[in-house]
Amino acid sequence: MEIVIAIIIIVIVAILIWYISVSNKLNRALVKIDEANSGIDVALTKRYDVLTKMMDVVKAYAKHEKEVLFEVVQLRSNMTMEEKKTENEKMNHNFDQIKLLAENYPELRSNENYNTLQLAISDVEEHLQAARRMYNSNVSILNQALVTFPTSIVANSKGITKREFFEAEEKKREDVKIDL
Amino acid sequence: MDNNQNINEISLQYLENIRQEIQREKRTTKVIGFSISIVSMLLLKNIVALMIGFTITLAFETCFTYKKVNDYKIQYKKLVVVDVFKRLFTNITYIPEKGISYNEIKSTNMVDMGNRFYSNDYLSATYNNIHFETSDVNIEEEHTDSEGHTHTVTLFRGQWYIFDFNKMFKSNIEVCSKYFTANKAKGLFSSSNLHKIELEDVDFNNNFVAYSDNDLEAFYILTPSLIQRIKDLKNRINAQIILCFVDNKLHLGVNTGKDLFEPKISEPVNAEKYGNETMQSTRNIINFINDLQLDNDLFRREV
Repeated sequence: MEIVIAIIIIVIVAILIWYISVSNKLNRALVKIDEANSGIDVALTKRYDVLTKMMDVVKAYAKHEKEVLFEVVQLRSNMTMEEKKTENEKMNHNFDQIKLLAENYPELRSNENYNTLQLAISDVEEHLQAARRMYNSNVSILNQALVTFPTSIVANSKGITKREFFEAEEKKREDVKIDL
Repeated sequence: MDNNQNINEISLQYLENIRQEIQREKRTTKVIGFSISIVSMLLLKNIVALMIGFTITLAFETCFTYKKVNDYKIQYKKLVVVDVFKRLFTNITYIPEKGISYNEIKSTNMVDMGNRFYSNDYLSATYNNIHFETSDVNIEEEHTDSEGHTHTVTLFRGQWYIFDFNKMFKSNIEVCSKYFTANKAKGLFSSSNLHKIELEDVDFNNNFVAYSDNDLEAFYILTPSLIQRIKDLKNRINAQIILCFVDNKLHLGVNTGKDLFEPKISEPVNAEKYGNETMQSTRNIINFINDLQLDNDLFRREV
């Protein structure tokens, strides 16, 4: 009888240790995702700042253009991944517009300020790509854990659900290929 | 040009004379030593005396000619190797007797530094505006067991390169071939503050281990294209490699298990053959710069 009780206690302790360990692992994954998410926010803000500066430079050259269609980008805290994607796509559109205008104004392409900003946008793009890859890598680790038995039991008990990836659009990837 | 050629020919002939003199001394030492060993064996009627005699002769020969062989190699290198470097690089400083310092390599915290360190064949030069330094490096751990036997373990033997890197960064990032035992960042009890990171490339994760103290910067430095280029580099050179991104520089250790640019004392002076071998080894530096696209300066400016 004592042996049975001992075995039951050992099993319960083992399950408890396993549960805590898996729970900590999932918590760490969530923290990493949050960190990566804030990395995306920082990169998006940097991209927004550089693009705004570029738009100012371009507007100074293209005063007499009837309409320069720049999208209004609104970044705020606690945006969902879908909202981030939407605002990022608007920035892609704005960058395309800038490139289109630059093609019509050769003197703009020789402007030192504009060239510096082009270098800056390339660097910002690299940071955004890095943040996106890191976020997706962490989301992938978490999502894999969530569909793996018995980790899924712990995840369900803690109410952890799958996270959405921050997908890169083809257009955005092309941004780094700038002809200087 | 003709004048230079004559000087070179005279220098090469001078080197060949030194080499022949060293070879003569080696032969004489061996003949005398081996004769004494044979006579000792015959007198003592013991084969062990012969073995001991041979060993002492070889050790004596090495000690007796060591300095001369070393001087000969240095002169040979200064004459032929520098000429190859001049054809490929600019701003050259080549010091055969010197190497990348112990402290410089230790500061990367990449490899276990053991208790014996040698480096030589220091080269500092520029290629396509990329400044680099390189030297042969040998790191060993010598220890004595409880029975008094001394064991030497080679932790790293090969070439160490330090390149200017084309991105600005503040963290330390390390990439190391899997199973590279001298890697210092690994292990539960490592003093390094780096932690392991998983990149999205499964093949890369199977062949390399990456460590960093800042995940985001690690992803910034290790772009998918750089990851692919590191894999290609590893496949091409077929040796364990370790890369460390620190202080806006890339340290690359290639564990080839051999020294470069070492002329053989047993072979006659042949500037063309030695020059070609040197050229082949030196081209690796250019290949590293090209493979890793270190001359892409798109990101070099701090923004």
